[in-house]
Amino acid sequence: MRIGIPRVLLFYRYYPMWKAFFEALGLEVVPSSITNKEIVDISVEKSVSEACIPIKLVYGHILDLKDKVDFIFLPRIVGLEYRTYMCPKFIGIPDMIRNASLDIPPIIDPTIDKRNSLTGFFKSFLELGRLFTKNSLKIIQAYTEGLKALKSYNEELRRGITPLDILDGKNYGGEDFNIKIGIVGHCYEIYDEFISGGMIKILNRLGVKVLSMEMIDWRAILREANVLPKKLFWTFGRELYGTARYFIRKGLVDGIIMVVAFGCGPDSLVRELIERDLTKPINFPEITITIDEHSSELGLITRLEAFVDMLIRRKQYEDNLSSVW
Amino acid sequence: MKITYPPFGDARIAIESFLRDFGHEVIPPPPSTNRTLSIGVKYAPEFACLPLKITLGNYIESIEKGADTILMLGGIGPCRFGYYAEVQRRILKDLGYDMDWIVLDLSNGWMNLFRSIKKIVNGNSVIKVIKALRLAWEKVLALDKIEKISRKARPFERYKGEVDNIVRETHKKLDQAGSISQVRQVLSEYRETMDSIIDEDSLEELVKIGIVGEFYVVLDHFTNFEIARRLGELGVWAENAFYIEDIVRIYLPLFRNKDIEERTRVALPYIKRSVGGEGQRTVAHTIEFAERGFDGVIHLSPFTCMPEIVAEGILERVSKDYDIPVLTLSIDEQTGLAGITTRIEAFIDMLKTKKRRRMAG
Repeated sequence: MRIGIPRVLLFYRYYPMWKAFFEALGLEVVPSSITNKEIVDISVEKSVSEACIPIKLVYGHILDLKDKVDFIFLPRIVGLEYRTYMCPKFIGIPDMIRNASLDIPPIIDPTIDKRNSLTGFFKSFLELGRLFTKNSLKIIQAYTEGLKALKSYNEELRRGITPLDILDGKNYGGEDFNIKIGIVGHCYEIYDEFISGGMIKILNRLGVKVLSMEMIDWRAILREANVLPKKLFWTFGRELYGTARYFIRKGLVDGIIMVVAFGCGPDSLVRELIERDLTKPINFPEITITIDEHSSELGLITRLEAFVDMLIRRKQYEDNLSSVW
Repeated sequence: MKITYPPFGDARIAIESFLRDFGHEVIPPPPSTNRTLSIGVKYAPEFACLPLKITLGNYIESIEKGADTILMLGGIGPCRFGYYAEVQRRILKDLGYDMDWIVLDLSNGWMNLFRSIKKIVNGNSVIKVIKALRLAWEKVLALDKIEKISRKARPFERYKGEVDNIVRETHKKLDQAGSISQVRQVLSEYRETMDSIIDEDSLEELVKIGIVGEFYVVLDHFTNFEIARRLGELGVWAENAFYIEDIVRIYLPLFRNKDIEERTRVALPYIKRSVGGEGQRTVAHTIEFAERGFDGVIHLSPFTCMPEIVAEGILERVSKDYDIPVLTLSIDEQTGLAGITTRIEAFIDMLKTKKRRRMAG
């Protein structure tokens, strides 16, 4: 039996775990193609026009898998941490896909909810495994395999390698450059090279080392985010805020690039918090890049070049004082 | 302490009533206008949803009138509403307005909630608090009835604006009413006047539209371009899926009852889990209207509203399964009245043709 995993949303975060888990249960795992023009076009046609591009792409990737697999794995991710939620669209996406008249193989949509349980993912995966085998021991073994895969994947990421190097065979971020930029954005925006316009590649070419959330210890990020008087209740919001604060406070980067999908709900507020709390008060260089299905690579290059030029000048001639003073 | 609050629709009358009863000096936010909107848009984050922008504009206009304290709700949920107060607080602070915020929010712990409530109660005795709450609640119920009846009466009004005038007068009287019996008195007078306008026999011939969607846009007349009035003038009987009472029951745990959950149950085949905000309820209410034999449904949402986008994706299927036309209007500061009117008129023409054909057999 073949199970398809669309290359969307949390793919670049959990794929190694899902793959190891399903393979240990004796399934063949098929990821969908890397996002291409065709997938984007069909996604835009089939989805709700107001949704953000990452959600739209789910439609295209699912259709890409349609004839290749027997099942499609599209979890309903409710929350990944105590008292936090994912964006409502993450919670509703299996329902949206199922009701979209797409003519696709059955969707497997276990609810992944880590909000109140000490057992973490285990409960969800136990239920998930039950669909394929009655043998609980086998499921537990598969789950352990999955956790092991996730752990080694995360360890590799912490060494400064991007998910694209590991999963898509690219070679980014290995070298050490003079200018360092922290990208603050969701994994499904940065690592989907079609929608991010190959941002990491462009920055590498400009002589910039890219740091991202995946390279920092998760708990350290959350600790940073907990300074907020009212804690953010989106898992991703916390991570973005924490990452930005970590980068700035530890002096790891020369500037920050915020990547925001057009129409992203949580980010519209989180971005505001980062700007008002962290970057503006100390004049820290920051640029926000909004992406959608109409973004062009040329526009992106121009903006990134200008930003990097500014950082270089700042570093060479102005020390830590901006020209405002 | 000069207190103000985010108004939505007619609820302002009830909110003001109980704040006044507690002995606060209330600065009611001036009615929302295009100025309110442009102030909000100017200072709010670009992609924030419309209610955040409008309420921000409301605050600034109230501050201009001298308010120094803001009453607001907060919470935890996937919807952005729970974080409004935090973002708005920062924006106002950066603008130089140092406001005192009273945020009713359980997520900051019981102590904080208790402290906020204490500030609102303002040292009044328990009896007085209960009395004020009961009066405010009675006003909420009355406001909802006034709104419901006006929807029914508008298609029959003898001259344009007749119903609006009566409603405005009644709201004024309701605002002055100091006891429950006075509220009931106002309501029964209103009922009598309206009964003389409504032609019960031809009610069935009217095109009936259900309005579903995000609560602020559905209930705030300014935000939704007074859609109910416009529909009424076009000879349509438009009913909301919910009124102020339901929203209070949904968002304030104190008033919660089982009906709310019962009503969402019909949506489960389509959307298995609540996605925050009104997402799941929107689907449920659309099904409910279809089953009640309504001719069509108008779905209102603020642009980029996350739960409503999920609902929109599902409504397409519901519309097919239950054979009920659905028009989604997503509203932001760019939305123009002409665009909305054109779409509504076209939608109603379609419904009228459909209804005529069905009645002819």
